[in-house]
Amino acid sequence: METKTWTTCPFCGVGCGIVVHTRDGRIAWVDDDPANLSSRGMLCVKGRFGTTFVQHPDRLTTPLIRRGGEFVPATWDEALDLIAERLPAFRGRFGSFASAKATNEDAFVQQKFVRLIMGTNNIDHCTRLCHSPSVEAMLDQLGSGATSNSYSDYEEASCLVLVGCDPGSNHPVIASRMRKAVDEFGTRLVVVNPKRIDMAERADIFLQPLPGTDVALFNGMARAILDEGLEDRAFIAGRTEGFEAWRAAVLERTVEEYAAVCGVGAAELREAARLYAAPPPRRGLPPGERPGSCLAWGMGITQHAHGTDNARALINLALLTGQLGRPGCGISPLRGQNNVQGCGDAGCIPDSLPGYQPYAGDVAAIFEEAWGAGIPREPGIKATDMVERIAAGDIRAMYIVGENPLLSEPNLAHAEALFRQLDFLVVQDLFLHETAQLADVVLPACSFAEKDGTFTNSERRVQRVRPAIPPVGASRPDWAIIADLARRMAPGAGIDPRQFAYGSAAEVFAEMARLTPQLRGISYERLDREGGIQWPCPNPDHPGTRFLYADRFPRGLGKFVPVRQAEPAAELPDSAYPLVLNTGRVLYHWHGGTITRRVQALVEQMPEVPVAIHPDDAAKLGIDEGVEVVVRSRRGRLTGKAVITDAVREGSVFVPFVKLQGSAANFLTNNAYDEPSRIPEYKVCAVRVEKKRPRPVGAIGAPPTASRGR
Amino acid sequence: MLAAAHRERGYLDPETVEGIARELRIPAAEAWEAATSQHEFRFEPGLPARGCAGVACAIQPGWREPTLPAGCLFTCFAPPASGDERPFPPDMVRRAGPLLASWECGWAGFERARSLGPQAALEELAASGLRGRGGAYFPAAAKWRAALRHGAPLALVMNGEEGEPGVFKDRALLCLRPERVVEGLAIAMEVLRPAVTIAFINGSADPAAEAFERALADSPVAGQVLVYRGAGGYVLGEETALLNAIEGRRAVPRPRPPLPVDAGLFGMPTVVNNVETFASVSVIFRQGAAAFRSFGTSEAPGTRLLSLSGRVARPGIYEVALGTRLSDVLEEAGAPPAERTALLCGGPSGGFLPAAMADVATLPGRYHPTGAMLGAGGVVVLEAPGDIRRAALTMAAFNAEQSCGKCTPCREGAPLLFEQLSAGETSDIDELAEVVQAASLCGLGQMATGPVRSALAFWPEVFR
Amino acid sequence: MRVDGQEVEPAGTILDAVLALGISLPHLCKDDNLPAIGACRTCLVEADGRVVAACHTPAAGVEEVLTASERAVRLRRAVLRLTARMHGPRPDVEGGPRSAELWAAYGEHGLEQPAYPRRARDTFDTSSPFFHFDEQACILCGRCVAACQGLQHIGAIGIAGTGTHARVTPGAGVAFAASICTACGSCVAACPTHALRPAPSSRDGVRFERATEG
Repeated sequence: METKTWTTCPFCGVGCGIVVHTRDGRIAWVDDDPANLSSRGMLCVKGRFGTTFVQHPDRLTTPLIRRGGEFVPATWDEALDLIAERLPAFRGRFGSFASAKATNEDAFVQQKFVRLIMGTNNIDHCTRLCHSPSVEAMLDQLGSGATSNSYSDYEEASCLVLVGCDPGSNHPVIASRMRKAVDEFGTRLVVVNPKRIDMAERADIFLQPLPGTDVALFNGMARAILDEGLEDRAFIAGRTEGFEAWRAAVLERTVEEYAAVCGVGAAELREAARLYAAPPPRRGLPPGERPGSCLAWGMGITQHAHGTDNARALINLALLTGQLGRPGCGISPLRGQNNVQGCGDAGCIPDSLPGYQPYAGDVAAIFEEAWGAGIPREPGIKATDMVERIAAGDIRAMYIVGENPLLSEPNLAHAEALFRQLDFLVVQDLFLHETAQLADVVLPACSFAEKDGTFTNSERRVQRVRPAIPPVGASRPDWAIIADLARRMAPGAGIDPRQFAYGSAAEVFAEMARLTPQLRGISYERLDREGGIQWPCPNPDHPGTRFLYADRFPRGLGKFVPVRQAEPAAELPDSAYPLVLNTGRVLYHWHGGTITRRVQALVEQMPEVPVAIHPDDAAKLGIDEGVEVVVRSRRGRLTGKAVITDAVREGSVFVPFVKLQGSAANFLTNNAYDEPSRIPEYKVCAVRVEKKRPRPVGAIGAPPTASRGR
Repeated sequence: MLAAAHRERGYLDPETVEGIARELRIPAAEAWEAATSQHEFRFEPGLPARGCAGVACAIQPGWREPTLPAGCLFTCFAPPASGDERPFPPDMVRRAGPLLASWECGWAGFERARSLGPQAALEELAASGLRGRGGAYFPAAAKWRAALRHGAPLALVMNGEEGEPGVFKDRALLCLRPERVVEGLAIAMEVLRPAVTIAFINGSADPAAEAFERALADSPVAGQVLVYRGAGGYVLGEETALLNAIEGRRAVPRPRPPLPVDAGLFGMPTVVNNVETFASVSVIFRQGAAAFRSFGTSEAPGTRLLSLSGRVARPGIYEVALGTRLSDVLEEAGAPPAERTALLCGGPSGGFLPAAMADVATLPGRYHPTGAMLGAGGVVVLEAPGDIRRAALTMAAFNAEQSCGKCTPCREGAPLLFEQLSAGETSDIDELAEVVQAASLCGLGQMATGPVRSALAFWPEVFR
Repeated sequence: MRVDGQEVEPAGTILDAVLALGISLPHLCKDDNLPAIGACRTCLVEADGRVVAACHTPAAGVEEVLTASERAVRLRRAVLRLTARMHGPRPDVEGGPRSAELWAAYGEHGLEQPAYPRRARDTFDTSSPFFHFDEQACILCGRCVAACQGLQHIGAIGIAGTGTHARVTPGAGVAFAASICTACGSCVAACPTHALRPAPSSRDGVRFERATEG
């Protein structure tokens, strides 16, 4: 039997529409969906060829309970009863990671469980590791942490500025739409990246700054704009505050001084500033419309010890030039995971309720009335701190859904030691990954292809997820598992079990929409009829919102915040570790690779971790293309295959953080944090590279052991 | 850039094309398909100088039955052709009229157009009744008006690719009277006010291009015209393929609509006219529409250049008023007695005609339903039936070889027509010819069956 | 406008109108996701007595379209016979979601045996782990190139060469793996034959070796 299911791609945050073709209950082909409003018939290799992981033999098919150091298959009742029995003892010392890969419905039920049953706001998700500095800065300066524009604005912009992101690898369909703008409409392109990414080939200006000097770079652009009088004075006067103090800080140095700090040419820096502030109109710009510029950034901005400052410097630039709130302009933190926007929207963050609503009186009261019980009003602990605070005993039990922190945390050896100290660990996922191997109970969850739900993509578009295949083994949707557990624990917590008596994902969404003003107008019925809808959508007649900030910012006026360049990074190269390690992602693998390592063609395409190194450094070290190399930092080491390329700066190496053959960049990275957002500095640490010496097979980069030494 | 690199090295290789692609910031595959769609580029070094496989050369002694590939070197007036092009010899102008009359100094036509202003100048052009000389005879003023109607920035293109075997009149004009062509182009620029003006001249026609550039440099529009050199061959007579070639794309025709006057070069409304059309424009503005109309017929006024080659005593260019009897021209050129003579009229898109049937007026449209037509004015005189097989196979091979390869009927059908004709298997040819004619994407494919059909219609015995 | 006697709103192209009525008409080079190319010539219909390609002829201004007139069917059949010159008989392999279009077109026009000798082209590019390119089945419709250049704006492939030398070619004559192809698969999705088809290894997780964790 053959079926076709219209659903949403489970990989990056672009949120492409896919049509899953099945034959006899197995995925046979994934087609693009020309009607999808976000992807318009485009797809990338992962969406097209990468979804077979859902039927990989490694899928968990039954709950597992650890007994005497071994996992033993269990029934759902056994597993959930065990958790329901153990967890109450950890109230006050409990934390939970939600999954940006699961649906909005999964996330909503999980945060409700954590807040209502476990009585804590200690819930967070991977945004802490990717865009928390962006969200932090945007919430503070504008009042909303979302991408302000739509993908269609990339095609309508007259200039695109890509900073610290590699859409060609990580958001391929956004890259396609940007290439379309450049090729068809003559849109100007500015690329800022220490690595020469593919998009740089089409760029008008390519700046390759020294790692960690972003604040100086954007202040330098701001200075150039001020010098040439290209700022939008009407916008600054009418829509912003704090301009003068910020201006004084920027004027402390000249463009030449800023450029020198970054190691870029002052002339190029000025030209980039001109293009951003006042680009020449693209072909086909409607007469009378001001040429717009879109600013998009990625982890290259955020994953620094001063990531929030970097984001602030960018937002200052957008406010300075008024490149906000019109077609063809806006600011976009490019989201890495399919539902990182929705997971935050649904309330899986420690400092606010669903819809980014504060814990303050009125709002919390609405939730308490709806949920029939009190909820904690103190902000919870952030993800990175939850891990660090295991050591202090503040966190003794964790419930982790769809996350593999022992691949994604910095300084993995350190993180693993902490996780081993937990008293009780529940992991709910598709595969028995590194973290799950340390768990007390492992619960098998359904993949995106087996459940109903919604994902919210980078352009705030809520899109449907629909089941294409039957659940694998005994797996169940995340929301259903947690609701079942919550019903078992509710009486003990003094909660009405009917609070978790959802009959379908649609019922969960309906409750979330009721409690979240920005989603209130959206329903499954509308999504099925109209396709994806972009929030804010406050009522059922509202068409959704293409771009934010047309008239005002959620906080009223946009706020300039002075920022100054600090030390480039917490750990800088020295004689023992002379090179700077930059991490990122590659097209053929997704993040840590827990999923894409289970797609044979993707592994064939890239079987080993590539270590990109500049030809001059390679020559000094006697390293040839394709040889095995060892990269060491103060915290660990990995082996990989040398790729010699002048795409990286001299003195830098680039390693994607995918784990292949036991090697992962996060064995090297530094657990230094940005203070406001608590994001780790993945992007910069000091390493040395050497040719691998012959050794007995298996002695290098040994994987974490499967049994938990307690 | 491709043309310059080819000129420098004599051939293109993948590395060169990749380098150019990087410089232009376009993908290698797109540069490679653009390069390899140009018939006259070579992709390996050290190939022997190309021989000509045009009809006039084909009837020379020592000729071998054509095999693919096949092309033309465009010196049909002095066969056999070989080597680089030389300037068009003035003595090959056998009869001159207003177009080829000696050039009087100054830019009087251009000045007149300027003083009239675009609107009145356009009316003057309309009053002249000029029809395009590329072969389709579309009224020039109507084309210009259609492009102007959009009020958008537009493009003006002069098509000087001249890729039809048996036609060499653009080369004659460009070499001998380049000022007249430049003036016509300048007048068009005055009327159309294009955002970009491109003169596209055949990549092998160096003497013509050099003469044109010299005249341009002394003209009122010096510095305002981009001269492009192509290598595209016959298909560039199709104007959308020409536009693709200019854009650096694969040189294949685009589906219509849109017409170039609505969305042509880079999407701009675009006027494409032939070299001889521009020369005619110059004549109109110097001598007036009425004087222009004193030649030709009321439907098809003016003179045009016929290119005569083959078995005539006096091959070369004959400038005649439209409507002149073809037989009169043949007599003037010294063609052999009609009963032993055949004509190829209109080249690969036209057809063969017994000279006994040549008492026809040189007017737009077919001389005979099997294919013979005025077209771009090419007439090759042949001995019948002795030359017919050679000539028909030459044209069939040319059409097969010059197919751009985009649409199925022409790409697959034209070589089959050649193969079947060559092998004398003519039973299926009618059906094959019908589909190539009715189903091909562009006019060149649609008309590619004329030589085969007409030859079979009049001299079926020579193919048995 | 009437198509085969049925009234229809003349919006878009004739092909749009024909397909909107649920009438079957081959359109091997026209992907619903991409603009008309006009290369395959298999969508010929009679429009007010003229034979036109439905995919790039606007419906506006046309009164009477006949998809099944004797002349239209005869010409489509003749075009399909020429199309069949490019490949052999149907092999026992699967293509993408649109790969049955060619065989369906043959079936509807009563074509079974190739009418002309096959023109051998035998590149079989298996350099990508995601899909294979089997040139024997390529009918040069150009959909893959349009998808790569016009939809995804990648430009990994083009059609190089003229006439019967025309070939779908990655880069400046290299294999897919050596080109800038990102394996987005839009070409595979667009291909109306099995020429571009998913590699067997990309199809199904069940045949894989168990991945070793860590």
